[in-house]
Amino acid sequence: MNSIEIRGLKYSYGKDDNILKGIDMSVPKGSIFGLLGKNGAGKTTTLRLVLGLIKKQKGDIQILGKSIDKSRIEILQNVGSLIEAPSFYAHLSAIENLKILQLVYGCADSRIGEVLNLVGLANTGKKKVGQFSLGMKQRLSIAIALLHNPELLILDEPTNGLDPNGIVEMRELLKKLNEENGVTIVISSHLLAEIEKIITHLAIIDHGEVVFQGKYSELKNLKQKNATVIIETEDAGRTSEIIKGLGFSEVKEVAGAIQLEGADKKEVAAINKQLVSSGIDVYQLKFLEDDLESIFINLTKNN
Amino acid sequence: MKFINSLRSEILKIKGSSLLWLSIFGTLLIPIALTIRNIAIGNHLNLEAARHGGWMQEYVRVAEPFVAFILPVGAILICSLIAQVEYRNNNWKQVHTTPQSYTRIFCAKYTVLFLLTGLVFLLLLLGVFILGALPTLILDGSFPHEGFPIEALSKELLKSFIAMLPIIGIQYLVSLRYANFLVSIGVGLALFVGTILVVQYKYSFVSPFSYPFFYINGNMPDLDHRMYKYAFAYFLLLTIVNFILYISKRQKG
Repeated sequence: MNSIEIRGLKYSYGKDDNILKGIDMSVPKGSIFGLLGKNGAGKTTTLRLVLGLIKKQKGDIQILGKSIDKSRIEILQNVGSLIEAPSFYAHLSAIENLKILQLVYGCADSRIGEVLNLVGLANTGKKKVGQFSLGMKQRLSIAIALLHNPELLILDEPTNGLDPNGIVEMRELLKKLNEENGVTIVISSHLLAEIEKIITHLAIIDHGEVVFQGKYSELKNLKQKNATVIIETEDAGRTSEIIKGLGFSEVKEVAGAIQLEGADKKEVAAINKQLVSSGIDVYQLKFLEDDLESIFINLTKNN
Repeated sequence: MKFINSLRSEILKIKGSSLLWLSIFGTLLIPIALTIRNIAIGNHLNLEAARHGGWMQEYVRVAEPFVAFILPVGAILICSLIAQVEYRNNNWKQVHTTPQSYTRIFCAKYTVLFLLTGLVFLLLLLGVFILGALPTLILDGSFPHEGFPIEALSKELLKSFIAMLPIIGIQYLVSLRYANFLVSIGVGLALFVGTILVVQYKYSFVSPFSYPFFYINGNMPDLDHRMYKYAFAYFLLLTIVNFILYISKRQKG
């Protein structure tokens, strides 16, 4: 079952400003789903539409098995969110901010202390939120999103403003919520490196279209297929000819070495065998880019 | 119960904000100033005067400048601040992702506005009492406990409250519609000043800010007794328009 099901979602802010061009997206229940894309790709618009913050123009959105058009209140009772910058009442304390929402959600009073403990803000006392650091405000926003024990958590760039320690803590917190409480988490980011350590599934969105969607492991396989390999031999010229002879077209000579694109591990092993059997000494075979950034760039570039 | 909880959360939002202090200070300013003046010049409400309409005279002295000037400006500020509580830190998106209907959100905020207005009128009643009682207590050593016309004063306060409704209606509409604080303040002040200039004109009832002046003058050009019906109908119309604009807003945060 999917926690979020989006079909044919289109949205434009003006006549010539089609921000979403027909998004199809499924967020599996119990997953940590990364929504990736450059700034302006359409991530925040998608999430705002999912939460009903902007009026849908075309397409269908189902959340927790219900339509956002018909069951908005019922859905929001089970969804926690943080969209863009943190929202809070600066003239009130963290406890008072949470109390405002506790009244609306109708959850137990004790949840206020629990979520403050969870995000490390239990000792802020009567300090006004306006005096909090950006990181503290971000953590308070997470506490607000978690207050009513939501089934689904939607976080738009939640690590903005956090220091490296804060980012690590946030990751651990989200992992824990997902593993221990089964919370489905949708987390958007424009930085792949920030979320690749926790996501199980992902969608890459570019210019209002989904250019990849699936399990994180599938993207990793795709990454291997698209990886760049550096091959250093005693004779770059002959090496290039042999590799091209094997059917690879993306072969370049760079600083006396060969740069090959689009070969997976098995194909590289076959190239190595061929070079050795042709009497060429192979000094080095190396895969470049061990993160997802290159595949991300390739996918969005092709689009 | 759900509405009560929404209302409690809205009340909590204004806790410690300038709204409450603005209401208290703005309302008690004139009664306290007049009380100090009365003590200084030895003017006080003796028992005889208290029995024979003296309290109402004290009310008129407070109500005229208060209803004509302080209340409209106060309404402009209070309506703007109620909306700014959400606009200031982009809180509308938080409010609109809570499990509340738009009607509930709209009505809870409106109710807070009326609770504050109710507080203002209660404080005004207290102010009139202080103005009558305190100088007498200090200067005479007695308390003009007789003749405090609570019923007549309540009736007057209700009339001035109805006269205020169109201002609340228009200002709440503008404040919800525009995120910029200066727009709602600017529109309010422009209408207020404009109304002062045309209040004697036959069609001045078109301005929501004209009704407090009609209340002070005791009538409305050519319409007289229908003034309160007009004020209430105007308020209802503005509220309905405001509600439709609010629920049909394309972007809710």
